[in-house]
Amino acid sequence: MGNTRNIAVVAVFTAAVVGSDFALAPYANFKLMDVTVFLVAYVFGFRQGAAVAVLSETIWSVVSPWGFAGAFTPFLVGGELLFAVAGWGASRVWGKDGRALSPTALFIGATLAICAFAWDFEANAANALIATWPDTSLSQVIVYELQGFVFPTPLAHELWDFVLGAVFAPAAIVAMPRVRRA
Amino acid sequence: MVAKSTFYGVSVLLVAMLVISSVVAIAYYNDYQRQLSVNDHQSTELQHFISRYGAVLQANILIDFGNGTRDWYNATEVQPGWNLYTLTLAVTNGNVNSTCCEFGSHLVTGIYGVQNQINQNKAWLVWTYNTTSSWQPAQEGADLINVYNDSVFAWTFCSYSPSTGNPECPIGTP
Repeated sequence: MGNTRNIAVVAVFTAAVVGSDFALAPYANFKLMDVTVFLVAYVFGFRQGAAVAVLSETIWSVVSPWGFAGAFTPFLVGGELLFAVAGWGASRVWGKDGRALSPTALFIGATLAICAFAWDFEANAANALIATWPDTSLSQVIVYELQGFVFPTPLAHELWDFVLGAVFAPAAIVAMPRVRRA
Repeated sequence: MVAKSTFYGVSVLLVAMLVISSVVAIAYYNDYQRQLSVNDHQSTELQHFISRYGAVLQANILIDFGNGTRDWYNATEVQPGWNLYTLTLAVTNGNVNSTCCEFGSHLVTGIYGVQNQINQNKAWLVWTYNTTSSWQPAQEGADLINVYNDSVFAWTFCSYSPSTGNPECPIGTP
């Protein structure tokens, strides 16, 4: 019974993530994937969050309107796993506070913003690695990192994740277990 | 005693603020470097054109106020593509009044505050000069007269024939 529920949780949230990715495709860097993976790990545990991260990012890497991500896919999945780790860790520290814009909500938003930065940082490093391999050097990675942080894309990513974390996540943290019990 | 969860939360919030401000700083730095690069490129292109087509051109222009005051602006540096109106604006630091552009050119109505006096048939008139025919009243408006290297022009404030529009004042040799 527990396994069935876990599979259902992963399937439902993976479908929700991929569906929302398509719906938000015209708006680059405005995705619900980050916050969803974070929330699943927060409410249901790391394994479920990680499963949603791996499945949704892998599917999106293949079916995205911009084409197959190829060698970039493992790095995208690895970056998304950060949100699962953060969600699991945050649940152990802050528990179930469902008030939007409460101190806990701001802490969750801040955690998501840091994860978004780490994701961007890792993605830029991956770009450098793929583009310059096997002659990759530290200076090349630094150049790719600097070029990757061009206004407004990464900033929008981090602020969007912060806002979702501070406003939307607390309500979801309270609502999701109720849905599970229903 | 501050709860451990609050301590972690505040720490995370501070790190997030640091991260976001750093991203803004990096983005600003990137934009600044890009603009520097664009400026360098355009400066190099400009240097290339100057070396290819010669530096700047030089022209001479007389402004005769009709009361004995004659101001010569000799060897005035001009850029390729300038016309007489542009040159006039440059030498007078913009002290030109005009209307625009009934016949495809500005009609100059005043220079340095000396305004046309239509009731007395006195106005600012344009002259061109070449060594063959000396001074000639210009046949077209200042915007339509191109400025070349060593061009010579004059603005004179003098009376004109109300019937023909031709100047009725002499102009000295440059």
